[in-house]
Formats: sequence, C-alpha cells, structure tokens
Amino acid sequence: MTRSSVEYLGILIYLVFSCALALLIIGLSFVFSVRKPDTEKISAYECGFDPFDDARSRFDIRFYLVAILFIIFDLEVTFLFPWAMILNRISFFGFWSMMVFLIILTIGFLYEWKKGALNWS
Amino acid sequence: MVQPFPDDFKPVLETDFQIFLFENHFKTVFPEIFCLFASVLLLIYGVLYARIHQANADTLRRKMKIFPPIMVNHVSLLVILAFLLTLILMFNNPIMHATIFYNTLVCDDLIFFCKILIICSALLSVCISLDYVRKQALNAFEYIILLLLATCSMLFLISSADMISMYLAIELQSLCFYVLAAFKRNSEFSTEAGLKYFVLGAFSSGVLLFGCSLIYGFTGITNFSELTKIFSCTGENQHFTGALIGMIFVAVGFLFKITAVPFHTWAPDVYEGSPTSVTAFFAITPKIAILGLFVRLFESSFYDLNTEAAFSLQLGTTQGVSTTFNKLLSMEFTSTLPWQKIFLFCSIASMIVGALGAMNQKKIKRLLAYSSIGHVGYFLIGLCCGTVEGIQALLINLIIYLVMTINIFAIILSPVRRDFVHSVQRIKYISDLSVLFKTNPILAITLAVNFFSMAGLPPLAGFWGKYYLLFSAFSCELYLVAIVGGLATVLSCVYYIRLVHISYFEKIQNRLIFERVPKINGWILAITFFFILFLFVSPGATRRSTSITRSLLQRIEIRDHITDRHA
Amino acid sequence: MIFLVVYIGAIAVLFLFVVMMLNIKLAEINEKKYRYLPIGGLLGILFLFEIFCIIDNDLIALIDSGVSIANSTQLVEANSSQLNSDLLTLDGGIAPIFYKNLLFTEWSELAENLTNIQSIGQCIYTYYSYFFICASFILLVAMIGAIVLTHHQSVYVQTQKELFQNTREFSKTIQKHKGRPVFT
Repeated sequence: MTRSSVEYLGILIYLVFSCALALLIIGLSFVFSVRKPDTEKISAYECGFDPFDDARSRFDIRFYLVAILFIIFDLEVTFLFPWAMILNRISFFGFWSMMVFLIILTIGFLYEWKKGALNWS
Repeated sequence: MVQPFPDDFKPVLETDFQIFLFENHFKTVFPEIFCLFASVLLLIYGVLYARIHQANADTLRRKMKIFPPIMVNHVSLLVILAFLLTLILMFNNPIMHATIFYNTLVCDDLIFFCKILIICSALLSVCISLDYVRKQALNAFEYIILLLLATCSMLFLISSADMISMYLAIELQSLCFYVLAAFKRNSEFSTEAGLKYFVLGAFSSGVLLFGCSLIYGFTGITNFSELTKIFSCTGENQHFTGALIGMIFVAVGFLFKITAVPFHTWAPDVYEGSPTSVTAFFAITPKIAILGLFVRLFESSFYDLNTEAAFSLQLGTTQGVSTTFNKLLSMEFTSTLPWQKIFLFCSIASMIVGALGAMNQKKIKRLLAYSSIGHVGYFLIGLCCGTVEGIQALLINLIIYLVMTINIFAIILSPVRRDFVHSVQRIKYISDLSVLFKTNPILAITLAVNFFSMAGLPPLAGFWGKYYLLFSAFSCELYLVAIVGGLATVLSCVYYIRLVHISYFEKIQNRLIFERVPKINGWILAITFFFILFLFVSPGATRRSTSITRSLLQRIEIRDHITDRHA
Repeated sequence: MIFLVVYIGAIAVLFLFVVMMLNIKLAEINEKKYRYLPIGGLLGILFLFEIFCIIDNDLIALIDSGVSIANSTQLVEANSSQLNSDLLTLDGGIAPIFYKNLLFTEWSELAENLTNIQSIGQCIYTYYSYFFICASFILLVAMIGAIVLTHHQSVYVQTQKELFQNTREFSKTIQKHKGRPVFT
C-alpha cells in the first residue's frame, strides 16, 4: 500500500461500512419477514370499493418554487463562507466584489418579494 | 498586470489589495456593464410598476375596470434603447485591444465585429417582435429582460479567453433561453419546447464541461492562448490523446447548441414550440456567438492539436491511390487535422439533413428550423477550411444569414387575421402563405426575393455568401465538402421555391389575411430587402473585415512563428 | 462541506420534488423499458470506448517516496522511536517532519498556512471576481426563471396591504363623502 493511498483508507472503510449498514437494514426485513400475500391483503383500501384511480394526487408546484428559492439563497450563503474567512487579506476590492454580488442577489430578492412569490397562496 | 509598489514599501506577509485591481478593465467592458446594469434597472422598474394579476380584493376597482399596467411594450422599447446605447458605447470604446480581468476576457477586432453582429441581431429581433408580443399576450415583462440578459451573456461569451468564463457565459445564456422557450405557460407546445431544450441544453453543457475538465486534466491549462502555445509544440513524440478526447467533447457540446447534425434533433421541435419571436432570436444570435467562439477556439487554440497517429498519416499517404474519387476522399480525410475532421463530418451531414429534412414539412417554423440547420452546415464549411479565407467567408455568410433570417421572421411575425378558424391567429402552416400575391403583393415580393436568396440564386445576397464559402473550400482542397455543398443547395431550392410557388400560384386554402404590417416591421423589411437585392452591386463591401483578418493574420503568424511552420 | 450542503440539502430535495411531481406509472415504464436500449447501449459503449482510449500508463501517478506531513500514522510505525512519537503528539504549532530519522521543521508552513477554503477565497473574490459576478447573474436568472415559469398568483385572494393598514389614521376611518367612491 503506497503512502499516498493510505490517506484514502478512511474513505474506503466508511464506504464499506455505510453500504453494509444500509444493506443490512434493508435486507434483514426481507429475510426475517413473513410474507404470505393475498389478493385481498395487498390491494389498496378505498372504503370497500376497487380503487378508482392512482392514490397520488397532483403535486402542488409551490413546493418546487420554495425549494428553488431556497437553493439559490443557499448558494449565496455558500459563497459567503470563504469570503468571511479571508476578508482580512482581501481588503477593499474583495469586500466590494462581494457587495456587488449581494446587491445583485438582493435585487433578485426584491423582484421575488414584489411578485408575491414569498406568499404562500 | 504588474502593479507598481507604493513608495513606502512595507514588507508585509499578507497581500495588499489597497491598490485597486482591474482599474482599466472596467472601462474596457463598459458597454457590457451598461447592458447588465440596464437589465437590472429595468427589472426593478418592471416589477415595481407592473402588476398583472392584481385585480385585487378591490371589487370596486375591478368593476370600474381599472386594470394595472402591463409593461411589456414599454420595457421592450426601453430595451431597444439600451441596445442602441450599447452599440454606441461599443463603437466609441477607447480601448479596443486588451486582455482583461486576469486573462479571462479579451477584446480584439474579431470579437468587436461579432459583438456588433450580436447586438444588431438582438436589436432587430426585438424590433420585429413588438407587435407579435402584444397580439399573443406574452404579458410578462421578464420576457424582454431575459432577452437582454441573454444578449449580455453572449457578449461575454464571445470575449471569453478562458474555459471557465466561456462555460459560465454559456450557462447564463442557456438558462435565459430555457425560460424563454417555455414562456407561454398556457401552451403545451411551448412547455414541451422548453422541456426538450432544457434537457438537451443541460446535457450538452455537461458534455462541454466534461471536455473542458479533460483538457484541464491533461494539460493543466484553461486559458485559450496558453492552449495555443502548448499544442503548437506538437512533435512526433507528443501524446495528446486525452486533450484530443477533451476537444472532441467540447466540440460536441457546442455543436449541440448550434443545432448541427447529428445533434440537431431538438431543433425543429423547440423552434416550433417556442413563441415565434423567441424562435427569431434563437435562430440567429446564438449561432453568431458560438461560431465566433469556434473561430477563436478551433482556428487558434486547438489548431495544432494532432495525435501521433494522425501526424504520421499526414506525411505522404497519397501514394498508391489511383482514382480521383479515392484521392479526393483520402486527401480530405487523412490530411486534415482532427478538429477539421469533426467539422467536416458535421458540415456534410448538416447540409444533407437540412436539405432533405425540410422537404416534407407542412409547418413553417419547422421548415425554417431545418433551413437553419442547413445554413449551419454551410457555416461549418467556412470554419473547417482553416484559412483566413475560410473565416472571412464564414463572417460574410453570418451577415447575410442575419439579414435573410430577420427578413423572413419579420414577415412571419406580421399580424394576421384568420376569418373562419379562430383558434390559431398566427401563421402556422405553409399553406397559410397562399394567395399572398393577391392580399399583400409587396410582402409577397419580399418573401420571394428572400427565399430565392436563401436558395442561393444569383445575383442575390445568398449566392454571394455561398460563392465565398465554396471558393475558400476549393482553395483548401476540401473538394468533397464543396461538392456536397453545391448539391445540397440544389436540393434545398426545392422547398424554398415551393414556398414562393405557394404564395404566388396556389389556390385559396386556409384563408389567412395579412393585416397592415406595423411600421417598424416595414422599415426592417425594406432595409433587409434592399440589402438582399442589391448586394451584387458591391459584394466586397461585406469584406469590411480587413481589420479583422489583419488581427487573425497576426494571431496565425504568431502561431506559425512558434512552430516554424510555413503556411 | 459545500457538497453536503448543496448537493444533499438542495439538489437531492429538488430531485425528490420532481419525481413526486411526475405522474409515474410503473406499468407504463416497464413496457417501454427496452425500447431505447439498443441505441442507448451503442452510445454508452461509444463513450466507454473513448475513455479506454485515454486510459494509459501515463495516468498512474508516480509513487510518493519521501517527505510526508507528520500526521501520517505509517511514518510513526516506520520510525518508532520514543522521542519521535513524543514530538508527534505535541500540539501547538510545531510541525516536525521525519525524513530518514532526521527531524526538521518546515518554517514556511508555520509562517503562513492557508486552509483550502481560504485559498479559494483569496482568488475568487479578487483575481477571478469576474467569475464570481457571472455566477451571481446566473443565480439571478434562475430566480427570475423559476418565478416566471411556476408562479401562479390566484386573482381572487384577499391580500393584505400592510402599509395601508399600518398608516391608517383612526380618525379618518369613517368618513362621509359625496359622489364617486374614493380609494384609500
């Protein structure tokens, strides 16, 4: 085993362990469960009738909009982390470049606010 | 980039950024900064004053029919003003040649020319679609803001000198386009177009990025001019296989975006489904940007990228090849550089598919999509020549294609009225153009001249474009692609002239009446019509690219000097 | 850390939302499963072939044989002397390095040591600030695009106008007017 590959040994152990744990958790239920399926047992319950339609209803797209807006501001915060650590070395130019970034994203935020994307209904 | 030390030099361990970085660089990109600033300002302006859905709980306001302002037309006119001002700023920019922002952006003559073309095409696309946007109720002002941002991103794309800045600009442009393609929310066509464009655009961006990462992995360099230097020193013992594969992926990624064959399958669906004004913008502007980038990438950076195997093939392979046809083929496919091979294949395939695919189309936007695929094939001929003549032919063709496409889209975006079928109040089918001769004879003659020019009939403008292209292909001994170009032109004549035939000689089918053409459409139609008609008076006027070719010559001279090669 | 936050926290969640939103019927998928297998398989094999072209003996890195940073445990085992292991467990800025049983300190690392994140920050906000600002515009376009495509404001909803509510003057809430109604 070469010296440089020793550094990755931890990752290999982690990978093997997590895979084993996940497979164990899933696999044990297959091994130890009692399955005697019956047509009546596994059918969906709809007050005694046969199911009319698929149980999944249409997913509201507002959740998706919230998730997208979250990820955009999350990325903004991700850019803020290194800036916060190095601010003492990048004196004015670094500060103002981040300010420009923040101003552009604040304008996006203002746009969302005024459009009403931050309201739920 | 060396900044002078201050007089009281204090030995510090930390780097001191009190000296303002990039002072002159902001002056160099001032037109683009103005464009971005305008887009942001217009965004705020639009969102503060446009309230489309706010019928409000004020039932009284609704009863009195006080409707809030829909700002699309207003902001569109402001965006036209922004484009004009950007154009003026660009012409009057004091700094014309510079490498700025730490070798990530560059400005020179070719880039200036392409930027002017991009802004002109965006400006004309917006001008001709003002009336269409109003009639089709694309009632969100973000439409025009996204268009402006897409144009800004293309300006940055064309002036990028680094793979990262190129990728960022492509992503910005593609994001704007995905949203623009899906803009009509209540139309399934539009949503489907947006979805298809998004999936394929994201995939092609991924392929492009993979190529960039391979090139970086095998050379350690992302800057274009540094790549030129590294690939120019190809000897017989150099292995650049990894970088070659990376270059293939980069080429494929871009060929997706430019709708070249065999990566063209998304184009007809997306062009048809998007709102027509967006199609007009799609058909012209990204092609200009990406072809300009191709000239800088493949005529300069990847020009000498040659593998050992291909290198040995080039030294004297044409012995023992007897027939002329074999000689043609073998010369073309063995004595060309790797990147030339890719573009040769795509060019031939694009011309053939562009000619054959449009034969059976019944909808006009799909036909125009296939015709633009064919035109991309012709552009790629100019690109894969590898000489300054070829690049000149490419640029001339871009101007002529711009003019012709603006003309045809100005006709298609004119307001129409359908008397008996009220659902589709716009031109959709080819047979909608029937009896144009009787209803609007001037429009009919404009259409006829435009289609004859697209078919390549002399003495109209399209012929001169193909003239330059095929002659430059012949002078580089790329005979096969020139012959295929000529044959494809003949094939494409069929559907172009069929459209003219329909507008002149067909019996009445779906009666579509062209209403009065709006003034700005009329002006643009007239100017482009006269350009197409009278280019034969002085076709050399399009060769105003002397300064451009001079800068290209300089770059090629530098490259040849490095390799001691005699062109 | 960024991968965790961004990829799992956001992108995996987005994936989940998209999957929930698509009306997937397993039966439909199963009957079309093998339809695109030939051409897809061909393209996949083509990609693999390209990768096999690149994989070469040049790609394997040279074996590292020499100086390593002191927290590699293998070195401790190799040079197992008590003095060395004592020095290794000491904290507080001493960075001893072992090379063939000789002990020396890397002074440059003591004077100036940037972490990964700090070195990224030093470049991205100054020299490569163009990339940074470009990224901000991409995020802005993403925001605009998401709202344009998915935002649906229902018309008949009573929205609150907080500004008017807060600035309403109590004495003027009930007034007598003649003529047209006035909007406040």
